[in-house]
Amino acid sequence: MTTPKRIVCACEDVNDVELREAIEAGCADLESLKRLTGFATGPCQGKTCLTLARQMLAEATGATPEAVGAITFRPPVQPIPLRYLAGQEGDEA
Amino acid sequence: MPKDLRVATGPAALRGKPITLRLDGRAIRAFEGETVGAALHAAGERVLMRSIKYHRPRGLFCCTGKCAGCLMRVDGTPNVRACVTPAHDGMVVETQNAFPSARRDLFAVVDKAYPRVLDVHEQLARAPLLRPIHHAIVRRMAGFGKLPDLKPVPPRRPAIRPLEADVLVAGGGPSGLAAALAAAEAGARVALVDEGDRVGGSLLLTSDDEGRHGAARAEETLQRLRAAGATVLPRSVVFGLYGTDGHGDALPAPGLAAILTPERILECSPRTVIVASGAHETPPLFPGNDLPGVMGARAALILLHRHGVLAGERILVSGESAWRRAAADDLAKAGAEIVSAPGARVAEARGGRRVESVALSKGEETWSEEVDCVLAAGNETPRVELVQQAGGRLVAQGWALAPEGERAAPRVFACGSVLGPATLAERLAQGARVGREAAR
Repeated sequence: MTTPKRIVCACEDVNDVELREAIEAGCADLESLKRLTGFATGPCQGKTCLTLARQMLAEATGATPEAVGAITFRPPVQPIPLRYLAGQEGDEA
Repeated sequence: MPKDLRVATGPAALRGKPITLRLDGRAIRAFEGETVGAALHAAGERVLMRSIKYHRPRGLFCCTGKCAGCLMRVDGTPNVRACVTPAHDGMVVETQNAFPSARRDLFAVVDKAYPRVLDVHEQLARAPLLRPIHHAIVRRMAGFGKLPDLKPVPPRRPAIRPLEADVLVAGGGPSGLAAALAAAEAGARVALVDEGDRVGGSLLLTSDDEGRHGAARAEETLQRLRAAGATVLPRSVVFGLYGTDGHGDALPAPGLAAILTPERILECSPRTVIVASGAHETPPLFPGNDLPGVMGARAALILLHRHGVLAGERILVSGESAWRRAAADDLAKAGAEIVSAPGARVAEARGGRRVESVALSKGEETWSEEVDCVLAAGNETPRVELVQQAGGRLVAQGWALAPEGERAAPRVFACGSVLGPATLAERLAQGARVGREAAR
């Protein structure tokens, strides 16, 4: 049987226990929570976990969802095979 | 031998010719037109990968290439999203990050050894001699696949082509199509970018009479768009909005849009951008929420209406989103058994390599149901990345954030479900309104 974990960030395998302990240890904002636990740093870049993490932070700190805010979404917002960036697709410049 | 989950009605009539894939060396029957993910799910292959740290089994969740629950090695390329990759005959599909395979992964012992939390960064932090050995082992057991089977080649400067457009529409669902059409008919040069192999988004998921209507509406709008001279780019994505030209010089809003097509990268400096990127499903948070078989309700509708594949044989539908009713009704009609538990809360999903049962509670009462699939029709997370890059303000929508309104940022508009739940008629009207405005 797979153990009964509540997985928040499936990419990096971060569960609610790990996030809660990080919040209790003093991570009061998304960016420091992200840096300590690694949530939202996997292939999906926070698409699936960010709302759940925001809820946990807001409930723990009493902040509004707007005040918790979002992480910075840098391009590319969807995965791009590196061969496109290395000029291996299409014609040469 | 698991039951084949393909149904004989609906998209079955459109099924392509039979093909064969190899999954970790085993032959899997499939059909042309199916994605790798749909083909494997249909054949009863629920475990598509193992998770990075605990080696927990993972399978389809979103079916839209957003959740990274189906990363596989395909024809020698690692980390391919199986749910959005078309299958072809002779395709070599391998599970990654597992030994010997994702079906039976010996490393799954990590999940059992650390039932609460495993923090590899803290382990042996005070044992300097053992730490490098520990790191080497952890690195070998974790990670996302191995390097591709390609010969290294010298990099070249990619040929980035310009795309000429006044109005760039990101997303070809109901509101994006309506916006693109309104802008094109108002005389603007329009480019519509959509990730699907078929453009239409949720229009393609409405069933029966309405289903034909939805897909037919998408097709009719596309014909009118092309007649009006618009560029339509399927299987493509606006992957970034840049405020500078790459040499540090600021660009006028909305800046430079970067687009990936199957052939190449395009760059576009439109007068306005319409973000009609929709929303993706937020996973539920109960123990076992990541087991193969726990899926989004919309994902189940994609499997059913695009591929004629059932998400499961005995299915519990939980949550309250607009997709709940459609998923329950359409799957029941297609032959799945729907477990009804009105007002009940999912306490836990249990299973080894997939969901085998679900624990439910309602007030003081608790019980369990044997199911192979739990559909979560929960809240959705608006896809706000481009709006944030354009400098738009984000406001709360439940626990998620959404653009402030139709005027999302300077020269950037938003319409459709990225702004929150709405009826189809509302989204179509909003798209048309925003499209006219963006063309001015």
